[in-house]
Parts: sequence; structure tokens; C-alpha cells
Amino acid sequence: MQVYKAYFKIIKQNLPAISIYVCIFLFITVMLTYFGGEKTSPGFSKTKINIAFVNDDDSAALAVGLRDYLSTNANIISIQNNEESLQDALFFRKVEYIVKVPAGFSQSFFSGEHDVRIEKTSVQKSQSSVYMDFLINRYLSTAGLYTQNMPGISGSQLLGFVKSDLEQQTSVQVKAYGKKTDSRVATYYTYLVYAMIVIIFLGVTSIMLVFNDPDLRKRNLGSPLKSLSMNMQLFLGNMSFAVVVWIIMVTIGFLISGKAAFDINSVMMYINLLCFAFVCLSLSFLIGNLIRSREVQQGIANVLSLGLCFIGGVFVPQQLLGKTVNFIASFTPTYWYVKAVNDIEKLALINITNVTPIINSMLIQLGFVVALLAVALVIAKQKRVSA
Amino acid sequence: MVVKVNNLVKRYGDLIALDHFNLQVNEGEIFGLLGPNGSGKTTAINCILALLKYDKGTIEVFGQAMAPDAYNIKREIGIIMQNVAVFNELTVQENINYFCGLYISDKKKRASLVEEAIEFVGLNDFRKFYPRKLSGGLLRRLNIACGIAHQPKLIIMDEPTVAVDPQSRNSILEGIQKLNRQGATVIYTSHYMEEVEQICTRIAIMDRGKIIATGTNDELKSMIKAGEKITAEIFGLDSLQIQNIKNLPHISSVEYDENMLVVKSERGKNNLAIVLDYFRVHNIPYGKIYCELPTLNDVFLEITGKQLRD
Ligand SMILES: Nc1ncnc2c1ncn2[C@@H]1O[C@H](COP(=O)(O)OP(=O)(O)O)[C@@H](O)[C@H]1O
Ligand SMILES: [Mg+2]
Repeated sequence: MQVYKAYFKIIKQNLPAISIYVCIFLFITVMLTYFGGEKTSPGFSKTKINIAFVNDDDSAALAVGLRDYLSTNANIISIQNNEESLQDALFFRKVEYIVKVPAGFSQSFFSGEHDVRIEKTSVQKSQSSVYMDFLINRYLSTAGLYTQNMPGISGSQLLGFVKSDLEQQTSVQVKAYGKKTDSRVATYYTYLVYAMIVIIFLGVTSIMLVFNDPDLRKRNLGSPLKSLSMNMQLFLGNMSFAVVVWIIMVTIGFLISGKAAFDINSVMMYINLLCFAFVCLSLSFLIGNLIRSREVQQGIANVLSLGLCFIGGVFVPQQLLGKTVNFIASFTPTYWYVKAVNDIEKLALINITNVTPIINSMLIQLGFVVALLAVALVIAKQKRVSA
Repeated sequence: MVVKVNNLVKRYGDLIALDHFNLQVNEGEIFGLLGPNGSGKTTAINCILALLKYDKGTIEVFGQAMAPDAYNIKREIGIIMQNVAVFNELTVQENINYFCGLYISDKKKRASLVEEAIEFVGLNDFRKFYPRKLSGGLLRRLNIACGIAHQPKLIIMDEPTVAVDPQSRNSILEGIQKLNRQGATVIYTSHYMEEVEQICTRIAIMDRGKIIATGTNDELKSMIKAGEKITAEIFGLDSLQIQNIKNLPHISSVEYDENMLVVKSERGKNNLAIVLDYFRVHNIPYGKIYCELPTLNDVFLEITGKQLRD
């Protein structure tokens, strides 16, 4: 365990620099958490916005149900049903959002074809418009469940079922928010992505730079120390470092959570963050095996942390990023970490359906860990003999 | 045979760094690899240590094929690289302990070996120093201590005295001889012919990736035609006399410039006596006079047509 022991002596020498990083980034994160504005999440919007609801459908059952449902979450303003007045209303901000149920919608919906879609128009993509999208989707997907599973269900039956379902969900949510899970907690864990990437990356690669110095590398490779053993010891050292960083971050999170620190939700946040710490670790380990200079190290730290934060929905919520971006982002581990944070925040009822996506997000992160680590070890082994 | 290299070829792109390089090192030798900068010494050492891919040839160490995973061979080798390879974040003692620990896992045994190594290179007063605080000479000594602490059977040193003050250099050279007396076989590369002449029991001279001559110091010098070089201070020598000296037996060239006569002789007996006799018989008074035996530089010069040091 020579390498592992040397690791800690080296990191001890780097401690002042690392502590400064930890302090700076924790400070930024905590500032953002408390003063950066609350992160609003769907299903939890208190201000009602003005919308217009236009029904061109003849068999109105579904449209009426949807209108009822939306009216509990938005103010429905009556506007004349023609293109010009609707555009005017939008332009003068009489309404922020227009829902238009086209002719033949119900029929298409009940037949299960879904080829006639509800038209949604909004001033611009704003949080409230995303919220409206979300409500409509929720209503229709609940209704869709019944039409799929109970063919031949009548319109009024369907409306009754959906209504009671959604009310139940709503009442559960009200209860959950009545417990008031501090949205700062989720904000903290979201912004933490940036700090985690930077701190773990700089810490790990600083040590890797020492061991990968060409002269020291040659010297170590000339010794009977096996390449696998060397890399495992280095990885173990790096892992210990990542775990220490995780403990520090969780301790702060602990303080922010206050009384809720031992809730299932909080515990899941800790575990999720640990998964992400390992992601940062293996990513840094891989890149650390490739880079040779401090300048490159700094450059990559910036590109990596900012890039992963933007695409993964740290600075801009995932709901606002659009399908394509989220699709691309789903190939990055940050996306899954942030998704898990969002899911944990929304989690009110602990059951398999609700927890499975969270566990999946964590498992996907661990999948990234395994893949990155495997590549790192292959590269390290190949670079044993230089050309 | 401790090291046996056969027809090694190593290319860096178009450059042929090793061109059918052959080497045989016997147990107990201090084997010198002498060559100017860029002649391929470090490349050869890196190949022998399986740190570098090569294009052709075979390498055996202790009678076994050398390979990146030949850990049992590596365990018996001590490495002193041309560039100092130590951790700047570890102290002198921690560094030696680290490198020794790559070979020796027994803690107690290691502790005493580390002590011996510190003693050996004379870094006792500096054991708590970090490498950045050491002078060039002390740093080289640390580099050596890290390489030899585990008491290897074969020690490979690549220019361990580059940029070292004369005092440290002498202590390093004496140290190498001591290690050799204790039983280690040593391969020593250098571009300083004086060092190699001083300590090596056998020498290979290298140029442009090839071994151009191998033998003991004396054997190498007897391979060439050149013998002693006699330099004398003489005033007012005339051209007839210069011509006469040139016609003496075994004299290959005579130069006379600013009252200094330089006579180069071919290998033969009594060259100096013959020249001195001539001076006496012809009543030629001379001031200071000295005679130099051929050096490895002359060997190099005669084989390659250029100076060892440019
Ligand atoms: N990594 C490399 N890439 C390309 N050329 C190299 C490399 N290393 C050494 N060389 C060249 O190979 C030749 C031999 O170098 P080297 O073995 O370092 O010589 P020495 O140790 O005798 O000074 C030199 O011409 C050098 O420039
Ligand atoms: Mg060299």
C-alpha cells in the first residue's frame, strides 16, 4: 500500500489549496441557495395565471372536464373565439396561455388514436406555461390510462374517475407541502453539482498529475509494482478523498435541512449525492490519466463543470430545457443526478412507483461510474509502455 | 550473463535511435556505456527496462526475457534515471521509504535498508528536507538512494552525475564502486569519458545508436593506432629539425606553433625516449615538457572522425 500511503502525504501538501476551493465553492453554493431565488417546481405553483380556454369540440365531455380541472389552478378568462381577439389577448397579456381543444378531439382520444392534439399557445416559454403544459399532460395521461384499460368507458364515467383521482393526488400534495419540505434543500443539492465537479476534479487530478509526471511514471513502472495494483491504490486514495468531500457537503446539507435531516427524502439526497461524488471521481480519474499539465487541468475543470451544469439542468431547470437538450443530457450523469434531486423533492408518498425512478437515476449514475472506471483502467494499462 | 541485448532496433519516426544495438554485461562488472548526447544511451536503458516499445531485437535480463510484466526481474533491478524522479511532496526519508517499499514489503527490514541508504549517500542531516530544498548534488544523491535502497543485484544508472558539483561527483563515483564491491553489477551511462575511465571495468562506446567498440579501458586504447601525445616548449626550432623529428620512428604528426611543439606518435614502445634522445643529441633545449597517453576521446575520434564532446 505504498502508493495509497503516499497519496495522503501528497494530498496533505495540497490541503491548503483544496480547502480554499472547498470554502469558496461552498460559500457560492450556500449563497445561491439562500439568495438565488427559490427553485419553483411543477405541481407547486401558488400564483394562478390567466388563461383562455377555447373549445371547438362538439362532443365536449373531455374538454369540460379539462376546463374544470384547469380552473382550479388558473383563472380562465373569457375571450371571443376568433383568431384575432385571441392574439390580441395574448399580446396585451390579458392571458398568458391559450388552450385550444380542436374539433374531433374527444373522439380521437376515446378511440385511442390520439391524432388530434390540444393546441397550446403561450407568450413565451415561461415557468407558468411549463406549469400549464404539465397540468394538461397530467389530466390527459390520467384519462388516457382509463381509456386504455377500460375500453368502452363512457364520457361521464371517465370524467368522474379522473376527477377523483386528481383530487386525491392534489390532496396528498397539499399535505406534503403542508409539511413544508424546504425547497432550499433541493436548491442546495442542485447547485452543489458545480462545487462537487470542480472540487473533486481538481483534487483528484492534482494528485494524478504528480503520479503521471513522466519521470515518476517511468520510475514507478520500472519497479515490480503491478500496474493494476498501482491504479487500484490510486483509485482508493481518490475515493477516500471523494468520500471526505461528500461528508463535508452532506454536513452542510444537514444544517440546511434542519429538522428534516433524517427524513427519507433527506437520506435519499445524501445517497444520491454519494452516487454523484463517485461519478465525479471516476470522471476525474479517467481525465487525470490523460492530462499532463496544470493549464490543461484548469481549462478542463471549467469546461467540464460549466458544461455539465448547463446541460444537466443545474442553472436552468430541466423542465425548461426542451426535449432535444434533455435527450442529449440524458447521456450525461449530471442529468440523472438532477433528475433524482427533482424527483426526491417532489416525493411525498413513499411507494414503489414513486421511488423506482429515483433508484433508477442513482443506478444509472453508478453505471456511468463503472463505464468511466473501466475505460480509465484500460487506458492506464495501455500507456504502461511508451511508443 | 546479467544483461544480454541482441540486435535492438528502435525508431522514432524517421530517426533510428538504436541501430542493431548489442550489449552483454557480465556479473560483477561496472559496465560503462559512453557516448555523446543523443547517441541513444537513455533509449537503450529504457528499452532494457521494458519502458519503451522497440521495433526489433531481444533483451534478456538474468537469462530471462525482459517484459513489462516481468516483475520478478524488475524486483532485482535498481533504477537511477537520468532525470531525477522523486516526489516533491515527500521528504528525503519518505521518498526513500516509498521507493524501497515498492520492492520490500517487510516493514522492519525496510526501515533498516532506508537507514543504510541514507547513510550511504550521506543525507543524514537532510532526511526531513523536501526535495525542492536540496541542492543539485544532494538531489542526485537522493535519486541514487531511492534506486539502491533495496540492495538490487543489478543497478542501472543513467548519467547520475549530470550537473553535479565535483565533490558530490566524487562521492557518487566512490559509492558506485563500493556498491560494486558489495556484489552489485552496475550499468553506467555517461558522456564524460573521465568518469567512465575512472570506475568502469568494461566500456562500450556508442555513437548514433550503434556500439562502435567494446572492451576494457586498455583494450579500447590498444585498438587504435594513436599513441602518446608529446608536448614541449622549445624556442626557435627550424623547419629542418621539425622535418627530422617527423621522420623519427612511430611519429605520425608534428606541429610547431608559438614555441610549442606537439608530437603525436603511433602506438609503440619508448616513443617519449626517442624524442627526448633526439633533443639531447641535437642539443635542443626545452622548457616544460609533458606526455599524454591516448584517451577514450582519441578512440572515439579515430573511429568516428569527430570529438566525443562537441
Ligand atoms: N521520445 C522521443 N521522440 C523522438 N525522438 C527521441 C525521443 N527520445 C529520444 N529521441 C531522440 O533519440 C536520440 C537518442 O536519444 P537519447 O537516447 O536520449 O540519447 P542519450 O541518452 O544518449 O543522450 C536523440 O536523437 C533524441 O533526440
Ligand atoms: Mg540520456
